[in-house]
Amino acid sequence: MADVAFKGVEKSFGNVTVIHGVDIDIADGELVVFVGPSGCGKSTLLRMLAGLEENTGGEITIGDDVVSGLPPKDRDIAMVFQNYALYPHMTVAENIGFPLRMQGMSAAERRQRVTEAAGLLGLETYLERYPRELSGGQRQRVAVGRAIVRKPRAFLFDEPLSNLDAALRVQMRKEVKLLHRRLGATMIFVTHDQVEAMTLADRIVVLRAGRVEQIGTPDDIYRRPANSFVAGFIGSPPINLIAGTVELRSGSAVLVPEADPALAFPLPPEFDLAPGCRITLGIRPENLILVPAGKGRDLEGIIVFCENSGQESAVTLELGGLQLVASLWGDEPPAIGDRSGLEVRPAHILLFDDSGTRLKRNGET
Amino acid sequence: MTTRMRAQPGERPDIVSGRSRRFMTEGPGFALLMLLPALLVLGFVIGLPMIKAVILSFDTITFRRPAAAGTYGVHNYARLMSDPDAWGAVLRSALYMLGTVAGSVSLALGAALLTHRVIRLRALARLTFLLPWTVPAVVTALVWGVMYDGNFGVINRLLDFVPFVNGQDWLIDRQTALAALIVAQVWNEFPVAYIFFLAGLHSIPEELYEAAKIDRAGAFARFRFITLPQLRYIIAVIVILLMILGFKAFPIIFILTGGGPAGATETLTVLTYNTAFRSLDFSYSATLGILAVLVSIVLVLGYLRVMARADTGKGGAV
Ligand SMILES: Nc1ncnc2c1ncn2[C@@H]1O[C@H](COP(=O)(O)OP(=O)(O)O)[C@@H](O)[C@H]1O
Ligand SMILES: [Mg+2]
Repeated sequence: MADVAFKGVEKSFGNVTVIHGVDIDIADGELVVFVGPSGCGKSTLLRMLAGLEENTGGEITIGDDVVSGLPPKDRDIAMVFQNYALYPHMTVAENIGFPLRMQGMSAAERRQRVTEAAGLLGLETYLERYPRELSGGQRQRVAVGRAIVRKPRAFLFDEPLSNLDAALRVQMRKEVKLLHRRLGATMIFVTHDQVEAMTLADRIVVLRAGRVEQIGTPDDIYRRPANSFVAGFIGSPPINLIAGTVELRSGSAVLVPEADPALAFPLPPEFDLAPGCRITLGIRPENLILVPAGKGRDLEGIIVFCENSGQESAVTLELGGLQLVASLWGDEPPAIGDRSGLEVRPAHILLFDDSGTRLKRNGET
Repeated sequence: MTTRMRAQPGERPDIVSGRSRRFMTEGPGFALLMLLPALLVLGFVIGLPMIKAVILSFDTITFRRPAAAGTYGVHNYARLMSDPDAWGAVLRSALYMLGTVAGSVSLALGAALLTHRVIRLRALARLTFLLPWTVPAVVTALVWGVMYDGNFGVINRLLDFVPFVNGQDWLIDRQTALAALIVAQVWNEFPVAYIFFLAGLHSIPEELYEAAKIDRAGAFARFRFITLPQLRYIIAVIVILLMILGFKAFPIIFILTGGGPAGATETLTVLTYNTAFRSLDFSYSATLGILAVLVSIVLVLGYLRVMARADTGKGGAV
């Protein structure tokens, strides 16, 4: 086991730069998830760590060793690929035992280690099968088995669950988490699925277009996103972002949305805001509360859409020129076309300046 | 998937009259019907000469005893059993076959491994290796004949520069003639194997090599544990195809040595030819031909077996 660090890492393919100076420190035994939209460079980062690509700038260290320039076999890491990359002509036992065989381990010792790993993953009865005789989930397990059978310094997972169906994905997610707990190993897990990131990670690294947008615990990322991109990327249904201008109304600050200047959202007093400045207000759907219409509400709209997943309904409300999504837990979803009042939980309001950076509340560190 | 429709409600499935017609219009009978013309032509073109050859092998048509024509019997087969020349020819055919297969497969595999990752000048690299294939065997034979020449052949000229190795009369020396022919044949036929191997190498997912690198396999281990097993059906198919080619080989041997010196390169095909057109013993030649066909059938059966195994996907890609 070892810690892993990226220091100012860059990567260009020809004259196209896809990673622009990435700094990440990963502690020994930590489970870190790289998340970001497709094409943001997650796989490239992982492959540079594994030695399948060379970084063209900066430095990558595993433990105390600078690994840039070393071939994969001298880096002592294990990797699980998105499409499993099992050896099709080898049985499950041979697949899992392959890294040990490459270390020159004796057949007897190998068999014991393979049986151990297979036991951990519930593969004991499949050891003599070929990959093509397995289901997707079982293949995934074999790929994991091949990684854990030796004791590498770090485990890398490149979107290993994205080919599985939803139920299996949830289950494997749990298993990866349990495995991490059992092995206490350094793990880097790449995904484009923010739910996977939130549920798995000790810490999340949010990437966009080859740059780190934020590194933090899932809670940090969710509640204190560094900027509007992170706020928008994490969370489902996504956060409501309302761009507008700050104005003073009877002594307190309000946000007047660009989309509909007739509306005004009260802003909490813990922000230092100059009237006239342009900001974006972010409020997550669960922090918008539907209340009965009328009774002199500030905000009132018509329900135009409702997505009901059983436990939760994502209700789209139209307020003048603005559409906001509120989520409703447990309650019967409202009827489309109804009028409804809307309350904003002020403690959960996020504000972003013109460049997208989140504004801190007074007193926030 | 079946193309046949389920019986619709209201349609009585017990009516048989429609069924035989359906057999001919969409069932297996239809397929047979469509294949019939081709089968007839094939039967005529392949079957008739075969039958004629079999009949000829029991007859006695030979220049030495013209009057014996029409005397049928197994005498040609009896002669074959105890003919050391025939069995010597079979042995030489086997040597020739194994030599060309081993040479072509290793040369083709080596060339394919060298060039399949080449990106720059790829077309040129491949053309270079494909070129010999475009040369007709007759031309190949003539060119190698000139190169092997003991006095002014380029091979001996080049060997002049290598210390302690003397030039030879490659095609005249009994020790070297068969090997020299094998080299010419390999040069001519290895491109076939090369394009197969190239296609095979391209079909191996890069991810397998990456996984193997992560699993700490070196270059040789990756070849041994990924490339070879992934190519094994292509290799098996190529080996058998080249065995058939090698066993049937004729023009290069015939042109370069005609079976000589003193029978040292007389393979079964060349012996068959010489028996018919030099000794003018047509019936015995037909008997030798039948023997060659029997060997070929064994090879073809092996080929079909390998193909069937490859089709069922034993060990194929996931
Ligand atoms: N071998 C390559 N050659 C050129 N560009 C590449 C190569 N590999 C990846 N890229 C580019 O680098 C960017 C990041 O790719 P990748 O790391 O695979 O993204 P992700 O895994 O986050 O979806 C993409 O724009 C992709 O087109
Ligand atoms: Mg990727």
